[in-house]
Amino acid sequence: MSALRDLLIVCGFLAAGLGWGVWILRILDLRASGRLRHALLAAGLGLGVLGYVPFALGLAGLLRFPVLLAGYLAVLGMGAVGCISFLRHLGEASGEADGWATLRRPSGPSLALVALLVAIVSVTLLAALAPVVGVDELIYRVAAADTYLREGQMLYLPSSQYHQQPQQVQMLQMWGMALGSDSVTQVVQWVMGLLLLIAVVDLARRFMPMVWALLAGAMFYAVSDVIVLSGRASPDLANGLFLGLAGIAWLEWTARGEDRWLLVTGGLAGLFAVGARLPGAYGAIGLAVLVSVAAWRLLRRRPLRALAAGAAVGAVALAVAAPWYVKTWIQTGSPVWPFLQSVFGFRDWTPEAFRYFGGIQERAIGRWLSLGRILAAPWEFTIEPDRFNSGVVGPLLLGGLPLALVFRLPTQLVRVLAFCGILAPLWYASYPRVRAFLGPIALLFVVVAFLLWQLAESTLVPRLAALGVAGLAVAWLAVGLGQTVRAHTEAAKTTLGIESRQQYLIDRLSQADMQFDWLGDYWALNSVLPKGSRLLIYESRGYYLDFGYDRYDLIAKRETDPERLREPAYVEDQVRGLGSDYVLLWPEPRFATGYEPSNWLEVTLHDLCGSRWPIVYQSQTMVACKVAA
Amino acid sequence: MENPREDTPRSRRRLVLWLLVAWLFTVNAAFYWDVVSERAGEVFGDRSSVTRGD
Repeated sequence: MSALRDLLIVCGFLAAGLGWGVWILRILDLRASGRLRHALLAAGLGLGVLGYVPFALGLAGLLRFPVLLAGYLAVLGMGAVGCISFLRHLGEASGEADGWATLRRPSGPSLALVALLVAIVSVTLLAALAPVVGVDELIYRVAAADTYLREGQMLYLPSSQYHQQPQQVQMLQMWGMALGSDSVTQVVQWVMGLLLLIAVVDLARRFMPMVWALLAGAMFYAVSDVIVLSGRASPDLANGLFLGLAGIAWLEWTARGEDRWLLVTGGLAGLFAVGARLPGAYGAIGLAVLVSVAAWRLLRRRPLRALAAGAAVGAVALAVAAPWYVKTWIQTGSPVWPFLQSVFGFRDWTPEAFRYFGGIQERAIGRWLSLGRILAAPWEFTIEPDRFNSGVVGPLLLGGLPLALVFRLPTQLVRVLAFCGILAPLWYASYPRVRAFLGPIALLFVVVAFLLWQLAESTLVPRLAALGVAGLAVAWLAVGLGQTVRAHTEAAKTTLGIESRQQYLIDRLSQADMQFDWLGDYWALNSVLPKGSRLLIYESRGYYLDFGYDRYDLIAKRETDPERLREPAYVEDQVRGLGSDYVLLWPEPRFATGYEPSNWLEVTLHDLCGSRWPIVYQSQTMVACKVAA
Repeated sequence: MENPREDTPRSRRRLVLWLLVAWLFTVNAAFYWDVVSERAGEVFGDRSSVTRGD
């Protein structure tokens, strides 16, 4: 029953987003080429903009159930009017022949691809409806939203280093979470992924037969990050949708030359920027450059006018993102906290601690900006994606794209390549993860599907080559199906009631990709510790605790005289200063960080726990102590 | 639909296309070889590669 409620809540968001987006496009007097494209662009814009409602309520301290419910009903009502208006004017949308109509009498391969997509999408939906799991999700993606709802406002969380970076999609997820269960956060992502899949097929069917367009969608949906993230709350699929649609809006502009499309392009790039943390700015920067070049070379505008067109995209994106930076400035003194503190002043970090934190990317994936890594990147992303903390993107992109040297691409697909080509280096330089590039990857699969179709049809190679191409596609789709089964079977079984939610969480979170062993302890503490207690925890993941909490290393990373962290009396004062009532540690020190002051602090906390502070809870994985008054 | 670039002689186009087809199959072979040989037990992709807390 709760699954149905969660699904309905997200359907409500989708309807409201579509309606709001239709209004926005109508105000701009824009009609996309094709009804479905119009609806997709409207839904993307609307869903992104909706996030500002809970954002504003959060800043005003109004994150209460009655307010959020009333707001939901209000936006749904207004959106419904927009939806009705869209349906009423369906026939007016400009566009070409609708290739979707061919699906009324599908060929055998089309039917098989549709069946495969329905199967994968259904399993990922069941997984999305299961309880929340993950790593980032339990650190801040869902955990921060949960804290905001508990406190009734969006507040500064000094021990959460990422929470101040823009989290626009998280706002929508938080809204749904307040009205339903936390699974809504995952279903929101599932819907975003589904919209992106439809956008891929809708773009592809304009250049190739429907069966190849479906193959483009299926090849994209078989990317392991897409499959895994369709059932998780990380916002990458939403961001992929925003950036993919920004590319499609850019195509509309190049095809029609109506500058109002630049507002849509910039708006969607801005939504990508505020959904993808700080590195997401690469989308707006790349699009601003691309628009300038295209205005100059394609539309033959004077250089200054061309630059103005690019600047307009950047300005709109910045305007969309600005509320987040202003909010962060007000709460921390820096618009991009915890970065640029040397300019804006340090808050809750010492320069040394921040220097260590600043090296986190290099420690995770090595020196990715060395010449050797740059040159090897296409191969590594294909064969060894784990070197970039990424899932499997498959061999068809790297193997298939060079076919563009032989087969002439339609103009729009050349522009897709230009869009991806200008974004790729910026993405690689800023945050090279497959999940941060899903929008362009989605569009690249359209190009690859076109090229494979051309190869299959070519008289320059024997028919055997066409069979081989089909074999490669089938192999990749089989991998996608296998990934779906592997990633989501346990979660889907839980949603279907075959496995209990508690058992699922215990089993799933302790597996190798999560390594979260404190869930049982959290549940035990939720029932034994006094309500309203505040905790200091060793784990970075505090979700599933019913208490407010800080992470232990907050004390270390803001300590200007780290040697004092070896002194129990001093550390005790610091713990009390945070208002912590209990401290949660592993039974023995783990020394999990390379930042030594944090390790000294960990030792001192262990010294205090069991001596000055009585142990109130102990298990094989945790010891909890009450901080002496 | 045949749609080769018109400005390239057909024989050279054919040669380039064969090279590209060889590349396509080589990349696929390398990928599946890696999947089978290096990722035994993780044949369908490494779940831990996504959202590791970075």
